[in-house]
Amino acid sequence: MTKQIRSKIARGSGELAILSILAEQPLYGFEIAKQIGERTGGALKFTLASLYPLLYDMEKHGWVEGRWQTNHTGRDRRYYRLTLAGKKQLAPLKKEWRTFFQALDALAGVNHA
Amino acid sequence: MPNWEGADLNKPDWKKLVRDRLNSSGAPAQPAEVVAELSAHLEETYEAAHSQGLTEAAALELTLQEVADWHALAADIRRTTFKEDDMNHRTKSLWLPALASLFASSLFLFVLTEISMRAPMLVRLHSGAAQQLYAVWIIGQIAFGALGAFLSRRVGGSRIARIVAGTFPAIVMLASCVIVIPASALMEHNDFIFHNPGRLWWGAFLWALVPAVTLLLGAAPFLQEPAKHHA
Repeated sequence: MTKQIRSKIARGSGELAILSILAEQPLYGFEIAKQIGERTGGALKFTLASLYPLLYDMEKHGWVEGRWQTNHTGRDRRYYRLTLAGKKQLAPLKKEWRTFFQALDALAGVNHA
Repeated sequence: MPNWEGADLNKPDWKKLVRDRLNSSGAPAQPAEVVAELSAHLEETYEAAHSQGLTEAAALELTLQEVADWHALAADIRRTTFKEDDMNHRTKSLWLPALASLFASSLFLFVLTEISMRAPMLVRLHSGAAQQLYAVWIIGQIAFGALGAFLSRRVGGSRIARIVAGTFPAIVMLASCVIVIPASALMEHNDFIFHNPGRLWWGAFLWALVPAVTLLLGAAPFLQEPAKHHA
């Protein structure tokens, strides 16, 4: 598999993970990374370097919106929430990934690898 | 021990760290908002690691592993935070620096030609002024090669983009000698060039290949990657 394809898959899965988690509640970057890591048992792991360029790109596309707020410890953090465009993006993205996994399953029996 | 210059291990200055490392490439500074957000992330990563029982040094090392290549991160963020819809990365890192280099080189040639034309024709022909003008122009290419490569690197241009931007005046000259001049001669039914191809190749050598070498000389210092900060 070429580096380019791997990169596209990583990017697509990252977008889906972020949109899915923000669909539940607004979170700031550290919390997004933490929750994704915890809820996938560490299978999906975001570092600062992988998370923020993706978040900023999604913000540029209008899928998420960042706003500075004070968190529960009294510190200012930039919370991201899903926009209407982001909500619209989520459903087709989920469908796309479902199809992708079904195709892989049919081909290699990976059963939602 | 992790590489941690100028920091107090007991209370790391996260904003300074992020600002210094993101802006080390000589590219436009990242917005303060980005620096604040990234430093907050590092701060919490460090605190979480420390609260889990890691020593300060181990927590710091773990935190710095969040970014393996600050230069790449800075370029990634620049691509997304700056308004690049109007002007894409290739335009900024290749075409604008290349045109700046070409314009400066052409302007310099124009100025040199204007100056030399002030002398009477006979003086021009017999004083070696043409050779001197050419030599000055060739030496000047070092600056224009440096200009193109510098402007390209400044906005995160790849090494290939920096080379092309730096040597663009020579590329245009070569294209003129190899394509434009023969094509126009063909259209004008001027077969002098086709009967004397050596003149054309000599022209290409003097006006494209030699300048390409001096342009590359100027570009060379900017072909190296800026110093990277690794965790």
